[in-house]
Amino acid sequence: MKRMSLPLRLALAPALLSGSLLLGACGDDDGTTNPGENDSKVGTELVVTFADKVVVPTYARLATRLTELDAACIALAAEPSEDKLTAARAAWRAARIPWEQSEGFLFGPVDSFGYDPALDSWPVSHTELDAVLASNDALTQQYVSNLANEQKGFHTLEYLIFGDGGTKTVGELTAREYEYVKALSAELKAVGQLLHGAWAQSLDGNKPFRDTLATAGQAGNSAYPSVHAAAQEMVGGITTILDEVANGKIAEPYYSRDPNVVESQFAYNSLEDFTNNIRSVENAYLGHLQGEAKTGTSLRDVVGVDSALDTRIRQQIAASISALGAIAEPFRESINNDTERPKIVAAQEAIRALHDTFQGEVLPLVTQ
Amino acid sequence: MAQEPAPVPGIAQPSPAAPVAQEPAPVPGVAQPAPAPAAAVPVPSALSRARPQIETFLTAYGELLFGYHDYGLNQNRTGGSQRDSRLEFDTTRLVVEMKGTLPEYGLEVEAEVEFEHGGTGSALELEYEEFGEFDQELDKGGEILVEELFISKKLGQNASLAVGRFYVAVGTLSEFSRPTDYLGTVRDEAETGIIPNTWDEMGLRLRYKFPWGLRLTGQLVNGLDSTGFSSQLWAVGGHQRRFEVQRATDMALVVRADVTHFDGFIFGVSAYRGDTTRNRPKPDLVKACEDANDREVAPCGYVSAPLTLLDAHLSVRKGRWSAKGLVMYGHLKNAELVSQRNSRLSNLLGVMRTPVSDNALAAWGEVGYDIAGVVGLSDAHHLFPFVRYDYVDTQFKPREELYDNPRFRRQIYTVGVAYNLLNTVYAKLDFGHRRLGSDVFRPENTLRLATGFNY
Repeated sequence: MKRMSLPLRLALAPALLSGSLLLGACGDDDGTTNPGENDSKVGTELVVTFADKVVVPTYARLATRLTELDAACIALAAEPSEDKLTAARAAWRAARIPWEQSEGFLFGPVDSFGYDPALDSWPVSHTELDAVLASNDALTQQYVSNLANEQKGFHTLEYLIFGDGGTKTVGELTAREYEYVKALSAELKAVGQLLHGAWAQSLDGNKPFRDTLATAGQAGNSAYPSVHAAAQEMVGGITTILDEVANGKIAEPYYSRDPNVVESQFAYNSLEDFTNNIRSVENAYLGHLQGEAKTGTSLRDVVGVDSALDTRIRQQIAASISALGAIAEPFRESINNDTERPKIVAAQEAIRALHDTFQGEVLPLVTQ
Repeated sequence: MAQEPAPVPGIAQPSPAAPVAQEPAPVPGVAQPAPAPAAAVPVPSALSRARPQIETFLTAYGELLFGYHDYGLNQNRTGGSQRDSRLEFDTTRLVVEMKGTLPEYGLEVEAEVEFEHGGTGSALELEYEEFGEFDQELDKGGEILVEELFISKKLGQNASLAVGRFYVAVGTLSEFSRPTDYLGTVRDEAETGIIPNTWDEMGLRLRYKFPWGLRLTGQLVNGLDSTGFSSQLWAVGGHQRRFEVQRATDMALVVRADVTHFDGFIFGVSAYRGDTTRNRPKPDLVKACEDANDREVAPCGYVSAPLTLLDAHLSVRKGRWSAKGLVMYGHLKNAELVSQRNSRLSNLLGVMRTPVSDNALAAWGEVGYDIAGVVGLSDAHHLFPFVRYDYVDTQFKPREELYDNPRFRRQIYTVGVAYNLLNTVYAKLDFGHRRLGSDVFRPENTLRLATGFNY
């Protein structure tokens, strides 16, 4: 399958996006003729803003960061040095940010084409990872692509370049590991481009998923027969990640007291990951990325800017982030530390409260 | 693990088998003793004629399973599954088979309906193989399955032709699927690890039996769907059960020869070959070419990915001995292309999306000796202590680009005892020790008790 190079894609992105915005604008005109949607903020603008200001820019950033990560890994393997290892680790952490900030909308291509498990499965399987390293197989991108999800993606690369908490030195990385590192990062880059491409470009005769979302409620859109259906998907994405962070990512290692099931345990990046998941919710709610200006309608408008509910949601987001910030990293050790465990429970509770607000009070607002 | 059905929580109980058990009683003559006003409805002329005497048979079997496992459900952990102590109960299956024959015309109709896991509808499953993290998905399940439905016609003394749904004539389970046919508490893990468990498809079947004890079977049936192939279960998921209609653009040919001449011994070989790409739900495995005509679904043709299976099998029931054995080899051409395409399939299709190996190998054998007489039981009882060995490798000699994962090479050593009364009511107890292809994976132990009936 031929793919356009990333620079070309990025160059084309503005054209695609502005074209899409025009489409979206038309959709909005259509929307005003629909009496059912006049009295609500749940209109085309809501989903267009979400797609164009939150989702696509997040994936564009992910694709860029994964390209940078790949470049850092190639540079590291070509001429290993502590500086280059540090740079590769920094690039890994940088790529985690947009990825974790995309987990508030794990629907569409990332779900349906399995990009999520291909990028982000854990725990890493040391047994098989060691066996892959011990084999004589050529570690190409294609080979890595064929591996089980637990032997590729962010966390296998994390294990190789960080070791336990970043203790691994350049001298400890073997030639074979460098080969694996390069193949892993090449595959990550490829998946990042596919994922961004699936939202922003036509692929294999399918229109960009951005358009599918933005044209919700228009004739012929079987994925989203109404704008409300798309808005429910948005809120569903938010509640799904909040549930996963509170009742999966945190609860599972906490209750089993098993450090092996902690996400990003080698880089000690776990709490940063969880925090970015909450940022993802915040971005989806506000309708823009952090540091960007608000344009268009967002879920916050649906709730009512500065309404009691809006105030509570923003407080709960802030409380979740600060509760996570209070826990000591490494999280993999905090789960077995009696002074940290109550803080972990508090963070779980804060996130659950936010989840319940979205589930109980925001979802009904977008349900027809 | 096809042999170990996951627990099926919260499933509605099936309605009793009563509806299927009601045989269409022959309507004698025109007399319809129906005093209700409905009698005013004109009786179709076909019903009004006298029918010939149809001989009907109803048979059934049911299986219940109680299992103890010393390992966790998630086998994807480093070092294999973790230590655990858990029990699983399963209403494995209730199978009702109906047969109607018109001997003087050589006609026979057979239907078999299976109720699996005591339920209907969709089942929730925990899927560890696909993702490293917990993932729950709704499985279509198809908990009530029509496994056989065919009409067969005798052609002379030795041949018969059938059309409909029947078992694909490969391996041992196509013939010996009843719990009293084998000694273990569950069907063999080897065979069910690479091909569908009691594999049924639709098509034509021709059987010829030579008087001196050679039985030939030829079948032309719909092929498999390669979207369902996976690392762990090779071609098992290729059984078309997801959609209401089976795609048969790619057909498969099966030939089987069994020698039945020697009393108590049946042995033979079988071969299966059929393409798998044009039965995919979408035409998504097509060749690319320069001058593609976009008015055609596949202007340059489909990628060919034929599946070949070869097996040799043996069954012994001689004196006090009972034994079964099989070796099966499978090859999938262009497995790499199938894997590449599968990895980008939609999650909504509910398939594994893991890479499939070019080759798979399965072998198993069990042998038991009836000691009922030795321990003073009458002829009505059978008591077989037995041993069984299963070997299955779903990544046997894969292509260079595919890591030969030892996790998918499994050996199971089983020892147990099987009791039955007149081949009708049975109870079995066995202990299985499963070893994965590398010592770094924990071995897994299972103790099972199975009971049920067969009549």
